[in-house]
Amino acid sequence: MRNLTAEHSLARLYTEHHRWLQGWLQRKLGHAGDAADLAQDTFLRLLCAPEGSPEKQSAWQLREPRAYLTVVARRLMVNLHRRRSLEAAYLEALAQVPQAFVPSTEQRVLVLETLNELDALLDTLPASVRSAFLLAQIEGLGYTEIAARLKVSERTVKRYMVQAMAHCIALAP
Amino acid sequence: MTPTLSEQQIALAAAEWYFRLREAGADPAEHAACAAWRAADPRHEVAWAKAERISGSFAGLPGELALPVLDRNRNRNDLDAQRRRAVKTLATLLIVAPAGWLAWQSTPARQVLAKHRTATGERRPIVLTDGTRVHLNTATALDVDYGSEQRLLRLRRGEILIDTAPDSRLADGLPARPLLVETVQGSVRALGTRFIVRQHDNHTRVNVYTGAVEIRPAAAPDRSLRLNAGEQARFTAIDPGQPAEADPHTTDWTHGQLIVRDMRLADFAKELGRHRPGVLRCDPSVADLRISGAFQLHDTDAILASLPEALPVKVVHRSRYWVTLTTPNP
Repeated sequence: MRNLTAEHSLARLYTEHHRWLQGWLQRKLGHAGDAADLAQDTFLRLLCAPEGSPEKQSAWQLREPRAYLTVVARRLMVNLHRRRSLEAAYLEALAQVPQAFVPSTEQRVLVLETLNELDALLDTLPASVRSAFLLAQIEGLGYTEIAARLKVSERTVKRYMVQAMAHCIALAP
Repeated sequence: MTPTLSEQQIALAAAEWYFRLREAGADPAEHAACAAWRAADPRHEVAWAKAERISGSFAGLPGELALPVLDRNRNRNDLDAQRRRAVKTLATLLIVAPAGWLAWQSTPARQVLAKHRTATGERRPIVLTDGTRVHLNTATALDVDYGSEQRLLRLRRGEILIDTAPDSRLADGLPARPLLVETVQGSVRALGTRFIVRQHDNHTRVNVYTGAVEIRPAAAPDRSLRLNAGEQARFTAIDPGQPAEADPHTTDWTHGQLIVRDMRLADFAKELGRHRPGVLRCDPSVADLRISGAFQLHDTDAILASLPEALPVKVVHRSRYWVTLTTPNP
């Protein structure tokens, strides 16, 4: 019964606030198509959220529906921006790679998805922690070399590694 | 959404263990201590698996693409450094390319510069100038070198099915040129025929369906072996091997299928792994299970997803590039 109630309140949320949310998103994004997509995604996110997650706290849904929707929508907006900048950087990187090394279409999509997953995990890390971690994981550089590149001590690099990995573990699904 | 404090503490401990083991190298005491930590709480094991999965995802990425993309927000100086790095990579490639055929010993160069290539998961038929049809299986690299004396196919890696055509020059009254397939271990000479050649890590396997072939090991050319239709052999650079009954299912991939009967799951995973990028691992606990069936190679994800219906296995996706077959009740 609890699920029914939750779905019922979500349906109500949708009919009463979907149009408003789309308008709000369009003002923020300046693009009708993106706004429609994200409004849809916001509700989808709520529908699919696991029990017990903040998205399912229906008391708040009903008391402050619009504040609640914008919290979720804002997060999706940040994700959209991140994803767009990732895709732009990916296209640029692909253009830099000689033709013979460009992966097939299928692989390009797979690589992009993996990049996106990792990028989401790394998103809120401080820049130098992120760089140090990437140099180790992707380039396979040792602590000494990373320390020299980033102009920090080896001990700091070591601390960065643990910090970045712990951050990713905590966020990974 | 925000992890609780204790989850964060576990994540931190897992990360510390992860790097501590890397530094410790193979110190058994450290490994044992880490194993004890992992076993102490199921959440420890989950966090540990995540660390491995994250590292695995990085490992599956092409570095020259991944670094500029994931580290795109670095400051100006670093961007310049990246650009210098990209230029350096390009310069290296420009030097390698003209000298490419001198550098055949280097496997990556061999694969990149070969004329006909298929990516992992890709299969493609081609027709050569003389009408010979060659079907390339997944992750295959092939060079075609037709000269006045012979028609030479260099199999750099992977697997090809060949349907030879009679040499078109016969029509012009010229002598027929033999058709040869060359692998690391030696050459296979076609005697009017349909056959399959697969380059393994340390040997070559040939299956003959029509006509016959002659195998010549690279380091023992006088020890040649004739294989007739319906026979197969596994040869190395010094040993042409013994004729055995051909495997009728070796050509299934040309129809996009993988057909197996009573195959060990570990062997199945290895075979399937050829057709998908990344790592497909089979845990020893389920390695000896047996599998039979006809599988469509165009969707290896669907094949993996269907496995638990047929066998007591669990398919663990650590990422798209990192999949493990394991027991459902650990």
